Amino acid sequence: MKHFGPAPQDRAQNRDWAWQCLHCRAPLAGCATGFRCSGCKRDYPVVAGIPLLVNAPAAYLASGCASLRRALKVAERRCDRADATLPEIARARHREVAEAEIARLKLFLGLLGPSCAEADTPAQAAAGRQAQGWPLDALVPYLMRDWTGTAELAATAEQIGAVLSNAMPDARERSVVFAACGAGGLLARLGAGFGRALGFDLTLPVLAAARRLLDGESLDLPLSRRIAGAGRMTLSGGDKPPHPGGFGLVAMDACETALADASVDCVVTSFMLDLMPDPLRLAYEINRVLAGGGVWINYGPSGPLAARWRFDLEEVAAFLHDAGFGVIEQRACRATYLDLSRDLPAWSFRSHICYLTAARKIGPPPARAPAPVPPLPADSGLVPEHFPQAELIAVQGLGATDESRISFRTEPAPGRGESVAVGSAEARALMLVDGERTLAEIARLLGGEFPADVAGEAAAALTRYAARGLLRWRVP
Amino acid sequence: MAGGADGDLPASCWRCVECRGALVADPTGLDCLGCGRRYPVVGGIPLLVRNPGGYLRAQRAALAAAVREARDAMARLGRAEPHVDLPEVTLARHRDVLDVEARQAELLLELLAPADASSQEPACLAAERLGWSIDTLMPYLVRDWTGTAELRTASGLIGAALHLAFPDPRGRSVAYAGCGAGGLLAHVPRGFARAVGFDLALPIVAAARHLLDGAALKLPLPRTLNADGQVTLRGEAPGLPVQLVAMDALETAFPDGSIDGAVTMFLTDILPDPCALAREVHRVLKDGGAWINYGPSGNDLRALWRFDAAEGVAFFAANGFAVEYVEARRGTNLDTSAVCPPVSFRSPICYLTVARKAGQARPARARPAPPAAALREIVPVHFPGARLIHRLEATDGGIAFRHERAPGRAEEWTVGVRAARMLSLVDGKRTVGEIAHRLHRQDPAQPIEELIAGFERFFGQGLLGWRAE
Repeated sequence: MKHFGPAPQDRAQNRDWAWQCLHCRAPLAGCATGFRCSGCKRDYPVVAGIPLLVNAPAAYLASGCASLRRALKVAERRCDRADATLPEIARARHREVAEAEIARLKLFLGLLGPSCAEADTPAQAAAGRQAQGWPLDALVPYLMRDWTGTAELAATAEQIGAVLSNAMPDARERSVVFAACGAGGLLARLGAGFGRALGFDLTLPVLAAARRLLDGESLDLPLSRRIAGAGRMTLSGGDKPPHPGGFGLVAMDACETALADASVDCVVTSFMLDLMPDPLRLAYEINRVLAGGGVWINYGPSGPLAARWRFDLEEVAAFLHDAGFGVIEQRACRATYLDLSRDLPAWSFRSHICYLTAARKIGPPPARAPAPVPPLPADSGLVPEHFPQAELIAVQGLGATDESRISFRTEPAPGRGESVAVGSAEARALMLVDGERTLAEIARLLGGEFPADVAGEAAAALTRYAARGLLRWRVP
Repeated sequence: MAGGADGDLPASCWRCVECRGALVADPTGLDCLGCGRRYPVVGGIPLLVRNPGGYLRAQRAALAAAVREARDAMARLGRAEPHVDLPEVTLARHRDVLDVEARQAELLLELLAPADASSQEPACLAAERLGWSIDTLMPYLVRDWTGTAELRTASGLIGAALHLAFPDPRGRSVAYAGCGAGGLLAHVPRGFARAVGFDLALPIVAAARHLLDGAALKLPLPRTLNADGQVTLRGEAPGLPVQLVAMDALETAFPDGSIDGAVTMFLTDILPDPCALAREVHRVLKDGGAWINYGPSGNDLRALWRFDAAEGVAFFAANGFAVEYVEARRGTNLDTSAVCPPVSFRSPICYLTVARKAGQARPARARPAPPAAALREIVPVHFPGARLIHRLEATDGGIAFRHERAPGRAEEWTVGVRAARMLSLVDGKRTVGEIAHRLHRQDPAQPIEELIAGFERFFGQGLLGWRAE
C-alpha cells in the first residue's frame, strides 16, 4: 500500500466508530497513515482528513483524482476555443464559465493535496472498479445549498429534526450516521444534538470541502459571474452549533459500509433512496449496522412513476416492512430542491413532494433470494431474453483516429439502468437474443459469422451477463 | 374528426417543402403544382414534411410499439424478475401505470385515422424526425387543457406581447411554432385574422386538433398521480380560424414573407441549432413582422447559445431582428399539480422577448451539399456524440440515430436496418463509394446508386458531415 502524502490530521472523531475491514470483516485499528485491518493487514489511508473506507482505496483515489484532472483539461481546452460565429457577449460567457470551472477544479485539487498528484497514475486509475459517487458538477450545488444559510436547508433540517427528536428523545446518548451526506449540511445542523455524529459519501472532493467547513473554516467557491455577480460564493458554517466531539466524515459506499454490525442508533438518508440502483441492498446494509430498535429516517422524493420501487407514503412503508423495519412516523410536503435563487437569481430549481419517514428496525431482513442464474454451459437449451429498455449503443468514431465503442445498456429494474462495454461479436450475440432462440442456436449462428474462438467467447459472454443479472432466461 | 379549417386553405397558403411549388388542397391532402408530390391530411392534420408516408408510418409504429410494450410488460408483472418480490401495493402501481401507458397510446392512435394505402410503401433508406416522444408530451396535454395557472400566465404574457407588437391586429396572421398540445392557440388574442400551430409530434397535434374543435378528451392517468385515474381535457374552440399542421419548425411550408407574427415558447433553449430556427422565422415573416419568444435561458451555462436577457438580445440582433421588449420573471415548467398533486416540476427564470424583423438574416453556416458528381469521392464523417441505438427488446427492432453537433442539444432520427448499416460503416476514412460497394457486396439486392443517394439525403438532413479527400 502506498503512502498517500502527509500524515493525516488528527481526527479523533473518525476513530470513535467501530470500523471493520471491507474484505475480511476484522476490526480496523488506527495507524500512522490512517487505518489498518487487524486481520488481513490491509491499509485504509486518510486523504485531506477523510479516511477512505472503500473496497479499493488506491484505485478510488486515483480514478477520482484522474477525473478531476480530466475535467480540468477539458475546461482549459474550452477556455481557448471561442466559436467565432457567436456574438461577443456569448463568447465572453463561454470563456468566463470555463475560467470559473478551472478555478473551481483547482480549488478541489488543492483540497485533496499532494496525495492526489501522487495517486494520479494511469495504471491505478485503470485498475479502479471502485464506485466514485456523483460527479463533482452534480454536488457543487449541494455545497452552495448547505453552506450559505439557505431557507431550503433550514426547512429540511427542521422537518427531519422534528421526526428525529420524536424517534430519538435521548439523542445525547445516541449515535447518528448521515449516509450519502453529500456536502454535509444536515450533518452539521442535526448531528450536534447526538452523542456521536458521522457523515459519509463517495464524492471525495466534496467531502474534503465539507471537512474544512465542518471544522469551522470558510471556502471561496469560484462561480461564473453570469449566475453569481461577485464571481464567487463564500461558503461557511455561520453560527452552526459546534459539536462537542466533532463530526466524523469518511469516504464510504452506503451499500457496503465499514461500520460494524449493530453499531449505530440512527441512520439518516436524504434524496438518496429514489436514486439507488438497488435500494433493497441499501436497506439491508442499514438494517445490518443499526442496533436493535435503531431508527432509519428517510427523506426525499418518490422517484419516477414507472420505477420498480417508488417511495411515496404507501410504497415506502411496504418497502421498509420487507427490509425488516416498522414505520413509526410519516409526513409528506411539497418542498424545493436546490433552490439557490436568493443568491443566484437566474438559478432554476425543482419543486417536489418530499416524503419523510421514520422507521424502527424490528428484526433482520429476510434472506435475499440467491442469484437466479448459475453460469450455464454454452450448449444449454435455455432461452435468453432481454429486459425491457435493453439497448445496444454504438458510439460512432468521429474520424480517422477514433474507434467506435459499443455498450450494452439494460434496465433489469425499471428506471435503474446498467451499462457494460461490449465487443462487436458480443454485440452480435446480444442482437441474436430474441426470446425465441436457445443459447445453443445463438452459438451456432455466431459460429457461422465469426472464427470459432471468437464465437465461443461471445456465446459465453451471454452466460456472464445472465449471471450479472443483465439478461434473464426461460426454459422453453 | 374535424379539420375543416384546413380544407379552407387558400391555394397560395402553403409551399412544397421539396421544390417550393404552390400546394393545392383537397379534403384528403395537398398536391404540389410544381413536382406533383402529395401531402396527405391525417386526423385533420396536413403532413407538411419531407416523406410524409414514412413519417406517418414511423409515428403509427411508435404508438403501436408503445401499446404492445406496455401490454407485454403487464403480462410479465409479478411472474418474472424483477417484479417477483415486490409488495402488492407496488405491483398494483406498476399494473396501473402500464395499463395507462397502453391506453394513452391507444387513444392517440385512434386520433390518427386509419392508414391509407399510400403510407404503406416499403421503408427506403430514410431517416425520420418524429418530434418528442408521447410520454414527454403527455404532461403538455394536461397543462394546456385543464385550465392550469401556468398556461393562463403564459398565454396572458404572450397575448400582451402580441398586443405590443400589433396594436391593431386586424388582418394579421400569427404562427405558433413547436406548439405541442396547442393550448396557446385557444387563447390567440381577439382581432387576429388567422392563426397556425405546428409541431412534429403528430399524435399530440392530432389531440390538439380535436380539442381546438371544441371536443373533450378523457385522458387516462395513473392513480398514483390522479385519484380518479383520468382527467377530462376540455376542448375550447378559439374565436378565429386555427390551422394545425405537422411540420418541422426548421423547414416549414410557409411561403417567404407570409406571416405577421411568430410565437415560440420553451423552444429556443432546446433546439440543436437555434440559428436555423431564426433563419426560418426570418424567412417566413413579412417585413416588420414580429417574433415573440418565451422560455428559459437553458440550464447549462456551457450551452453554445443561452437565452437570458443579455445574450437573447445579441442572438436576435445577430439573426436579423431588433429586440423591442424583454421581460424576465420566474415561472414554472409543467406544473400540473392541480390535477396531479404529487407531480415534480421545475421553476426557471423565463424571458419574454418581442423582436421585430429588421435587416438581413444571417446566412446558414452549413456548407452546401456536395455536388452529386463528386459524391462517391467524399468521405462522410460523424458529428460529436454520434451513436446508433438498437432497441433489443422491441420486436420491430427500432433503431435510433443520435448526435450532439451542438453540446447539450441532441438530435435524433429513427432509422431502418439498412440505414443503420450505412451509418455504422462511416469511420472518417472510407469514401461514400467504398462504403456503397462494400454494402453492395454484402447484399447484391441493394443497388450502389441507391446507397449513394441515401448518403446524399443524410448529408442534406444533417445526420452526417463530410469532407472532400
